[in-house]
Amino acid sequence: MSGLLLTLTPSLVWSLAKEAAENNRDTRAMNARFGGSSGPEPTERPETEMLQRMAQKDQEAFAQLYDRLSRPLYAVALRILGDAGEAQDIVHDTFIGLWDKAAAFEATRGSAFAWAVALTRNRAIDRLRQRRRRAEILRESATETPGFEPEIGAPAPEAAAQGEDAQAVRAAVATLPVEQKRAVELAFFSGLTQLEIAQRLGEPLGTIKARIRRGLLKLRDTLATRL
Amino acid sequence: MSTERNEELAALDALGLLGDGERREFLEAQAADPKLSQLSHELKETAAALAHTADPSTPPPELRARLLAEISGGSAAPARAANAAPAVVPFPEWRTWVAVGSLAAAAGLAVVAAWLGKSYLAARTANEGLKQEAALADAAMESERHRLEAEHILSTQELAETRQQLADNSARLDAVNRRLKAEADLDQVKIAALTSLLGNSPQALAIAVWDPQGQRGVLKVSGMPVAAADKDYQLWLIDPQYQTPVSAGIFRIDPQTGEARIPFTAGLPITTAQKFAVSLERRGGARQKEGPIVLVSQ
Repeated sequence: MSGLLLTLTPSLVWSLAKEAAENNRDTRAMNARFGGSSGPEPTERPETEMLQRMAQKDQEAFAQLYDRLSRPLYAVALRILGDAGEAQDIVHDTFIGLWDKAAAFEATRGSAFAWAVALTRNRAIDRLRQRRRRAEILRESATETPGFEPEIGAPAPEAAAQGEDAQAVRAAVATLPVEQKRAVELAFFSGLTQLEIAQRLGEPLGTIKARIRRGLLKLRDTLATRL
Repeated sequence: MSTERNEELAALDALGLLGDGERREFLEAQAADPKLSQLSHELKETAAALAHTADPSTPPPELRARLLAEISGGSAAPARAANAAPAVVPFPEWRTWVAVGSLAAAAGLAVVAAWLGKSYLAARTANEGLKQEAALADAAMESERHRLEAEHILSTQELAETRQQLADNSARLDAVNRRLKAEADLDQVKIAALTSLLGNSPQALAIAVWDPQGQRGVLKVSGMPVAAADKDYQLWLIDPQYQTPVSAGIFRIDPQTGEARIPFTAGLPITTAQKFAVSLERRGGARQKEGPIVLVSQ
């Protein structure tokens, strides 16, 4: 080992270090954006730091986290529920939940953004399913098919404000084959089960599972190179 | 277990789509393969990124203000509770009353909630009953509609059959009327046999049939000699209302058979065809009888 070290020149050490950095670049890039556990120090992610401060009942941190996440979380709730009032309720409950449970957040298990999105989405889907059961209008969702819109290349006026992350995600989604995109979007936004998605798309259940798998893996790889 | 299956379970888990059985399977797979946890983590982050594909929307400013107000009020209480936790701090009496009042209010709210729940269930049950009654009424109405439609169809068929029967009966009645009329007409038909006055043709014979209603008749002649080239036989009707016989036209005998069948009408209206006579006239016939009578009825 020492013999090996003796043979290393400063330039070789630098190139090896650079290569190692390149090997971790993809995962670091995504973690830096969305807060992965295997990335650099958790404190590098602002949402993580805000949650840690919120655990100490720092109201300013709460306001900062709200300013940072409220728009994407509200957009998700609005997309799932299609009702502004209900979407506001969901966002309200989500942030109250984040405030109450901030101390339970573990950065090693995922990013704060992913945690917040999961809380929002789960609450919205629960409400959507309650609404469907209550009104027995399962077919209602057929007329309100969620989709990734606007398409990349024709962004809505507010899209620019979403920042580079949003644009990168939209661009990555746009690279998916149509059938994978359709399956993934229904899986994320519709609140339907696997079987219901298969019925909706008129495809065998196995095909739908495979499309979701391929779609998410491709998205992961694409985002890793773009972010 | 195949890599693809693990990837599939991780993807479905990231989107919250695992069923109970699949969740158990995924946990077992994760326990057996530490790399699967890393994949699961990455896919969850990827799924979360899909939030950015929703239409950009901004919640109203009031929501932010409301949340900040709530956490301001909510955060103070735990802090006070933490400070008040040591038992050495006496609990003020007024707070006891406030607590009792709060408990009473909560109990009241619980009662109201229970009453509302009961009312809701009762209303729901009543609503279900009304729905069932409405469904039964709909079914009964539909059944009645079908019955009326069936009756209508049967009535229409019966009406058509009755009309056809009436038409048939009317046709039969017309036929009977025509037959009766024909029989009545036949009663009035005059039939007369004309015998020969010709010395050289005593076998000559003629039958005259006259329909006074139609003012027409038929003359059938047999055994008559053919008239000379410058002569024609001429038929006459004798009606008492006229002083002279009324001409009914000329005719010629078929030289091959010695017969003739001649439909005829009279030159004047005939009231009573008393007699028929045939004379031998000049070629083309005469207005008044000029030639000899060769056939005459009795």
